[in-house]
Amino acid sequence: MRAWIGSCVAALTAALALSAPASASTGTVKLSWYTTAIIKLTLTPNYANGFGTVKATFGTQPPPVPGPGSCLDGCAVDFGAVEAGIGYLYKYAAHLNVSSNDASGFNLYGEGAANFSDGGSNSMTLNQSLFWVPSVASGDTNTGYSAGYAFDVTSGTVNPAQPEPNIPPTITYGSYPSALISSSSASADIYQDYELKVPMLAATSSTGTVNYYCWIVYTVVPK
Amino acid sequence: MSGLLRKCLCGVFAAAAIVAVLSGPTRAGVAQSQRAQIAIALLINVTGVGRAPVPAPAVPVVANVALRAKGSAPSVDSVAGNSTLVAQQTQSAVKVEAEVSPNPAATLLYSNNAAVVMNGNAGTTISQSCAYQVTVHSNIISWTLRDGLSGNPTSSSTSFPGPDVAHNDYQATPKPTSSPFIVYPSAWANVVTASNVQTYCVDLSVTIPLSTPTGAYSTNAVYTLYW
Repeated sequence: MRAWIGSCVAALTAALALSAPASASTGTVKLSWYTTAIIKLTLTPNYANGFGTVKATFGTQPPPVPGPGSCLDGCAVDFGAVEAGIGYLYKYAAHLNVSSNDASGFNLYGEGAANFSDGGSNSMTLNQSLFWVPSVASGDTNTGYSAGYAFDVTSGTVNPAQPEPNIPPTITYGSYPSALISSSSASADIYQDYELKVPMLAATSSTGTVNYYCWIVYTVVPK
Repeated sequence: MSGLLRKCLCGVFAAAAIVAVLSGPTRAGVAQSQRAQIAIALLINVTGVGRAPVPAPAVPVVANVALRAKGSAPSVDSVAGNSTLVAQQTQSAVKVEAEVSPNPAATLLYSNNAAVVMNGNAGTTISQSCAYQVTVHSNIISWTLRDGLSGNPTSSSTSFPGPDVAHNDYQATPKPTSSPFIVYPSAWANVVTASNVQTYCVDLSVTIPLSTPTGAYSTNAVYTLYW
């Protein structure tokens, strides 16, 4: 928050006059300062019943099936068993609650710490495979063909270095990327589904089944 | 009697025609079945009326505390006793996983590009030559490829008509004119009927309506293979 908290003219003349010798001069002081905003981000994966993976199809939607690494209100966004060359939707993937005392609002950034990796030589380009889709708290009607927005890999400094399967990374920014959401409200709830477009060569007969993972890092910054 | 029979037959054919239309883009014809389907994400960043095209620059990362008055007190560089004024950004991360298995049918129909980004101003037409390629890799002697948009290009607050996005599919030389995309749930259009392995370049052009607000508009170009 670049809030102009105080710009006051302190008239201390009277007090000074009482405490100071008669020869002391008097005057005014101007106090001004900036202060940072208080902002809080709460990320809840798998935020509603019915979370999980749905194969992209038109018409009647199959029931969501979450992967084994997911759990209600936490854990990972686990697409589970998927096939190369197929598209999928993951319902109720992420709920982001932002609360702030900044009346100017906030920017929300979301980027990958790295491309999908299996920890070895196999990878999937993140902005060609993982997309976020605006969703709702409940009653999600998205499909695997709903309009989505690609996640990019960050150009910031990631700690710890990737791929790292167990430690949630942080990103240090020299400059911020384009915001996923630019809110003019101090607080907001943002709901996202994810889409996965699995590249046709993400797994082949020579690789067999490949377990991919990546980290999506969300950052909120007051305006 | 024959007139009544004729009316009945006409009614049956009319009903069949209606069912065929309403069944959507997954049917190419009675004798063909859907074999593969892919989607290419189209993102169109529009600069138009309304809010600024890019987010306002973020505030400095370092707290900016200026105490300009000293008086008789010692100079300080922080506000004592106000420890809550520290959080200028906050982060959280989620792990995304997938267990990918091979799919022999994945190479039947594929693209060299799963996501295309275009940028333009409202009221202009923007284009991208060979924005992506679509390949059918089959030994079938007669297959049909159909295309369409999954929906109108949509931002967080509004959309513009999908037929404002046009495509020109070709192997060597672009066609004289582009064709507007058909939008689901209307029955999609035939791109081509051909055989064996074929690759097509797709030129995209978007005529952005003048009234389009600034925003990121997204949709999917969907290709479906039948034989």
